[in-house]
Amino acid sequence: MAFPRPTADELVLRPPSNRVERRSIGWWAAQAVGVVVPPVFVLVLLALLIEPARPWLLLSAAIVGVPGAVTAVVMPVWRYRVHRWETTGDAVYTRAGWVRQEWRIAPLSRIQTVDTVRGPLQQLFGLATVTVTTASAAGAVRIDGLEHGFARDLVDELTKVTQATAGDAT
Amino acid sequence: MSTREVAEPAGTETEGAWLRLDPRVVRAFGAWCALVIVAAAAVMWWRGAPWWLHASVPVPVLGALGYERLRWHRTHYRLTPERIEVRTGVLVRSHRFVSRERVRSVDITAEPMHRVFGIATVRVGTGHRAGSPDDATLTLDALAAGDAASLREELLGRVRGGEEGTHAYDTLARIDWRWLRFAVLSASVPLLGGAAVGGLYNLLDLVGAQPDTVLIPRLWDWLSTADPLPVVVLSALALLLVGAIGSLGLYAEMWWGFRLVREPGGALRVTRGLVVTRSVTLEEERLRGVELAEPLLLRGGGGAYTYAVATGTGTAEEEAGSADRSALLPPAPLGEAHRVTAEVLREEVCPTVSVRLVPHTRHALVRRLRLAFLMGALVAGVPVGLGVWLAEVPLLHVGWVSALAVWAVGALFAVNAFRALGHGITGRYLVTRHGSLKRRTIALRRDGVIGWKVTRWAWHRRSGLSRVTATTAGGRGAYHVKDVLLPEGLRFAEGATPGLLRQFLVRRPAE
Repeated sequence: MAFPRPTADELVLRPPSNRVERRSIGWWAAQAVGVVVPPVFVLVLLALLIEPARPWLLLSAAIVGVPGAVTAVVMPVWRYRVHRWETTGDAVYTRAGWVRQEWRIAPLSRIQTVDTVRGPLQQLFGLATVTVTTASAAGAVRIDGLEHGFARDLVDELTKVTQATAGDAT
Repeated sequence: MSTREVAEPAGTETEGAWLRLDPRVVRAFGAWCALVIVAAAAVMWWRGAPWWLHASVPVPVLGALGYERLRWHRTHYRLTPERIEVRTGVLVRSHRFVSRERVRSVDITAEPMHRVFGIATVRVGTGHRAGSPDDATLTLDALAAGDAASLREELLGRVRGGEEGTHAYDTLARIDWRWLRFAVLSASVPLLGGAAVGGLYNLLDLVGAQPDTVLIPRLWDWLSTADPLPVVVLSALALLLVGAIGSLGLYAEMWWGFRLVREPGGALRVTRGLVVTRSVTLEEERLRGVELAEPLLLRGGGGAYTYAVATGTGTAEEEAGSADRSALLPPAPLGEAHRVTAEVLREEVCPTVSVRLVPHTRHALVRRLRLAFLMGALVAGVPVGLGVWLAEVPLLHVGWVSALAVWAVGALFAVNAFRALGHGITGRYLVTRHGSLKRRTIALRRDGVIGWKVTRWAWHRRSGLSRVTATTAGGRGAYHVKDVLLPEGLRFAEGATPGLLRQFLVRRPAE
C-alpha cells in the first residue's frame, strides 16, 4: 500500500558517531555458530545412527541449519553496520540490533551504575560490553564489542561524570 | 544498595533496644494448626480412617508450630535514629538494615487469624528495584496492630517535617457500593464459575462421595434423557451466575471499607479489605504518574482501574502483585477515576482528560490488519496443508472457516486497537494510550522520564513506523508510544523532555 510522503523536512535520529570494533563481526558470527551447530550436530548424528527416521531427522537438521547458516553470515555484517555509540556531555546514545533496531538515550544524570562485562567468547576476541544501568526496569543500555582496555577507560570516565551529579537518579 | 547482610556493627549500644515480634503471632499460627488438625480429623472420622492415620496428623503440624515458635524466639528488630534493623532466621541467620531516609513505603496487612489476635504484618519498602523484591522489603511478621500503626507513623513521620500537628487527613475517595456492578464485568467471571465447579468436585472427593464413579455417571444418565440445547444453555448460565456471585464476593473482600486518604505530609494511603485488611502507603515523592486500565468488558460498562505509577512498587516481572499494591481505586466509573487521578496528582484536571491525543497514521492500522491476516493464514495453514497432503476434504473446510473467523475477529480488534492509539503532552505530563483487550492510558510525569528508547523493524525503514518508549523508575519501567511515525515520535519525545534529544536529531529533506 502506498502512502503520500510528507512534504516538509522530517526529523530523524542521526547515527551515533562511533562504530564498534571490527573484530565484533567475528564475535557475533562465533555466537551464531555456537547456537546453531550443537542442535544440527546432534540431529545429523542421530540421522546417521537411526536408519528409519533418517529423512525426518535430516529434514529437521536442514530446518534448523539453513536459516542458522544464513543468520551466521548475514547477521554479523548487518550488526556491524547498525551498532554505533556515542557519549556527550550529558547523555549516552547507542544504536544496536539488526532486523529489529534500537536507539537508546540515557541522560548521564540518571545513570546508576556503569560496568564492563566480558563473556568467555568476548575475552577470546579481546572485546568487552559496557552496560549502563538506570533506575528503570526496562533494562540497561549496552555498548557491545568495544576493545577491552578502551571499555575500561570509558567506564572510568562515565563513573567519574555520574558520581559528580547529585540525587538518586530516579 | 540500602539493605545489606553484614556482621553486627560495633558501637551501636547507645541506640534503641532490641524488640521481639508480638508473641501472639505464635498463638495465631497455633490457632491455624488447631483448625487444620480438627478439619483433617473430621474428614478422616467421616471416611473411617484407621487410628494410626489420625495419630500421624499432628506430627508435621506441631513441627511447623515449633518452627514458628523458634522463629519468633530468634527474630529481633530495633529502630535507631538512623535506621531500622532486623535480625532473623532459624537456620540461616540474617541481619538487615534499612536506613530510615531510604524508607519509601510501609504496608500493613492482617490476615483473618491476625485480626482475631489483634496483630498485623508490616512490610517496609525501600523503593529500590535492584535485585529481587525480597531484597527491597523488610518484613516484620507480626506486631501488635497498635505497634504496627505507630511504627508506620514513626518511619514515615519524617516526611511531615514542619507540618507537625496539622492532622488534617484528606479523604480523596471512598467505596461506593454502586460500583459493585463493575465486579461482574470481568473476564474472570467464567473462570471463577469453573473454579467453583472444580472446588465442589474436590470437596465431594474429599468426603468420599466418589464423584468419578457414582455422581458424574448418574448426572450424565439423568442429563442425557433431556433435550441437549436447554441443558447446555442452562449450565452455561449457571456457571456464569456462580462466577458472578464469586466476583461480587471477591470485590467485596478486596474493597470493603476502601478509603484513599492524603496524610498531612502528602503521602497517599489506601486502606481496604474485609477478611484480609490491607493498608498501603505511597510517599508522594515516589509518584511518577497514573495508569488507567480499561479491559474490554469493563470499558463497555464505562469503568476503569486506576493504578499509581510509583517507584518501588515492584519489578516488572511481578506486575500482578505490584498492580495490587499500586491500585488507587477499585474498578470504578471513568469519571470517578479521572476525578481521583486529578486529586492524586494535585492537578486541576486529570491529564488524561486535558490532553489532546494525537491519533496515529494509517500505517499503524495497516500493520495490525497485516498481523491479523498472517495469524489467520497460519491458523488455516495447518489444517489446509494436512488436508491437501492426506486428501481429506473436511480438513480443508476446517481450514477456510477458521481463517475467516480469525480474520473477522482480528480485523475488529485491529480497528479497535488502532482507534485506541494516541499520544500527547499536557502540562507536566506526557500521555500515551494503546491496547484493545486491555486499553491502557498512562499519564507520566515528564520529569520522571529517565531515558528514551526507539525501536524499529528493518522493514519499516521507509515508512518510519517505530515504537518510542519513555523509561522511568516507576511502575513497569517503560511506557510505549506504539506504532508512531518516527518524525512525529521524535517530536513528541523532544517536546516531553526538551533538550535531551535535540543533540541527536537532524532534519532529513523529505524524499
